[in-house]
Amino acid sequence: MSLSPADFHQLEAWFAEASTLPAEKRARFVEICRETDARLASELEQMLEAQPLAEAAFLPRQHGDWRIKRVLGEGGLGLVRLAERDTPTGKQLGAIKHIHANFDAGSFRARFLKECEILKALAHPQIAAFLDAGLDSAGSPYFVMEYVNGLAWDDYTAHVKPTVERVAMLFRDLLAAVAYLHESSIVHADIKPSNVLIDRAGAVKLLDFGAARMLDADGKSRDSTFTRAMLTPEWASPEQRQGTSCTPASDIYSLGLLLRSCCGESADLRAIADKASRDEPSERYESALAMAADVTHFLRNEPVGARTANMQYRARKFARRHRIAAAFAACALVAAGAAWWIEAERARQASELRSTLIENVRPEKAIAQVLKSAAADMEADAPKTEQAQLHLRMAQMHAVRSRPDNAAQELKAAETAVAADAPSPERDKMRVRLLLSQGFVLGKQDKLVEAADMVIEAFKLWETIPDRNIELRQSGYYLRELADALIARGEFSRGIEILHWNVRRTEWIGDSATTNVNKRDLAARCATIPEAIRSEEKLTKLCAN
Amino acid sequence: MEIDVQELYAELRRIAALHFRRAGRQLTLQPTVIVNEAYIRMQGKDWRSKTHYLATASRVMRNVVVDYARTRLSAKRGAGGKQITLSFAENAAAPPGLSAIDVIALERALDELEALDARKARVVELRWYGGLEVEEIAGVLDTSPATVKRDWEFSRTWLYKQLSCP
Repeated sequence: MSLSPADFHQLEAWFAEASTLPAEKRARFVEICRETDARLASELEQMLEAQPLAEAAFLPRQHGDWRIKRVLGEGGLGLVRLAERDTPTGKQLGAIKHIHANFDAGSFRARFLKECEILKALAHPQIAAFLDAGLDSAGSPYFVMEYVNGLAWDDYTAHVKPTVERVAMLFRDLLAAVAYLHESSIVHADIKPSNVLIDRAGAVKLLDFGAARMLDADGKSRDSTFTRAMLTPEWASPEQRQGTSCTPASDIYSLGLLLRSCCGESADLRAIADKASRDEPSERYESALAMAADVTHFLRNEPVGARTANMQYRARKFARRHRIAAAFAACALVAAGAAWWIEAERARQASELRSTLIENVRPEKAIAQVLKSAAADMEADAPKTEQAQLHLRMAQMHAVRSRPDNAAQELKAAETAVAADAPSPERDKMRVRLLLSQGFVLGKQDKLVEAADMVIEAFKLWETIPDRNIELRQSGYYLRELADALIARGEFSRGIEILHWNVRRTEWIGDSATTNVNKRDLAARCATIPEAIRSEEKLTKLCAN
Repeated sequence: MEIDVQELYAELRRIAALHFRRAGRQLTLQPTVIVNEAYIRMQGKDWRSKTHYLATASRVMRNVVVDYARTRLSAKRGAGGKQITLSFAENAAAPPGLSAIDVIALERALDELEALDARKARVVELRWYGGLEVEEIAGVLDTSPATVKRDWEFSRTWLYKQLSCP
């Protein structure tokens, strides 16, 4: 239709006004306009409908180094598109998330930036990694995540039809990611099938932190603003739906629903799903780790804690248990280790170096930064422990990028630097961290026995340090996986000793719930070891604990 | 120093022709890419400023693209000739036929916009054909970045609507 200039400017004014309103208030606004000028109001209505499409169509095809390829989907606050950039080693794909122009203000923008900030702080093999962020030419923020080419959880289970064991293993990996989140004081708050992807390599990836929130020291979420409007009711816990609270227990609930949707005939998995999705938060699993422990029991044909102890059930489990090789335990080891190591290092750090590293996600840039700082430190004649710190950091980067040989080299350099320092508790702490790191790298190189010896040496040294104040919070999952892998290879003594240190670790942290889980784990593993071997002096002592 | 528009025009045509040849049968153009390429090639000449250059180039680019589209259309008319299109950010949700902008349809809508509000049409020209940043456009048009942002937001929606339901 043709408009007079006066109509056109009226339309423009209405459009500008409507653009500032949240979606649900716009219809009402259009109705008010309709009372003034029906024809112009329907013009406005059409424009408001076309707005997101128009925005997508006219968006620049280039953001920073990223070239847009195609649309992947529409998230709560904006569009997610596939993009690529050139790197020295070839093209890199990413999923770029761009805030919708309507939301680029006030609390929405804050929410978007919060998502970006949360992603940036996370590093876990089962969480889609943060790659880049920036402002577009109009000043609107965008960020880029690892592109996961895969199937959503429900599509995967429906079309690929995995065995129930495979489902349980994937689910355990997912639980590891959620446990990592919770230990980082973050609640995902929107776990549902479309946010859990299985990539081409068969690995689970958790994504979309658009509803995620940070927790206070007392475990309550800080920001309750409008996330309630954004949640997906079918998968949300009762307390989220009522808007009363959102805690790690809310994620456990959604995980329970997710597991129930794909547990098939398995009574064990169903029991686990039921326990996780109780209406009353306190009746659910106390943590994602506890839930993971039960899934592990299922995988090992051990009694599942969620089912009532019943002699016949236990006997049946025991009989099946020894028929199936426990070899699969090793494969989760590397993933678990990476998560722990990165987080332990990160949590401990508060230096500027750290923020440089995390902010400069481009590896070549980060390395250059580290080397520059390293050079500066050498000039300032920094203590050797500081130099070791730099080598440790380099090693960490290599390890995360699956270059264990380079990592080992850096760790060696760190060791040399520390050895030259005068003895002190600080030096010992550094050595503990180095030993644990070496253990991790060795595990990655599949040298399990050497890895175990490093880890055990690390803990022995740890116990001699007066304040023992070293970040060990994240290592439980790794230690359990390492112990499992060792026991599966017949290295009973080392495996059990590592489980023993895992108990000592949580005792020292003061986490009695996890300590109990760890103690049960230790006892359960001791029970699987043949009597003749267990009667060796060392094991008897450890198992009696 | 004034920009030699003839020279600029010739350069833009050369680069655009190259892009068309490279694009083969697809015939989609990214005007901003061409303008930027021209800018790089013509650097070293004494342009008053990059913005000044780009502002002129965006006007010329618009003419280059539209001329191309019209020539093509008349040459191929009746033989199922292809439309010249500008690359749209690919969007699965865009109406069919709008996955790329039909240059001539856009030109018609842009003319209409120009008649109603000349500044808005200029914003589109600078942004879409010239690839200028909001701040730069504000400088060229001697207005505030907020106004440019608002103009752009409205204009692109209005144009999109004109293109999708003519």
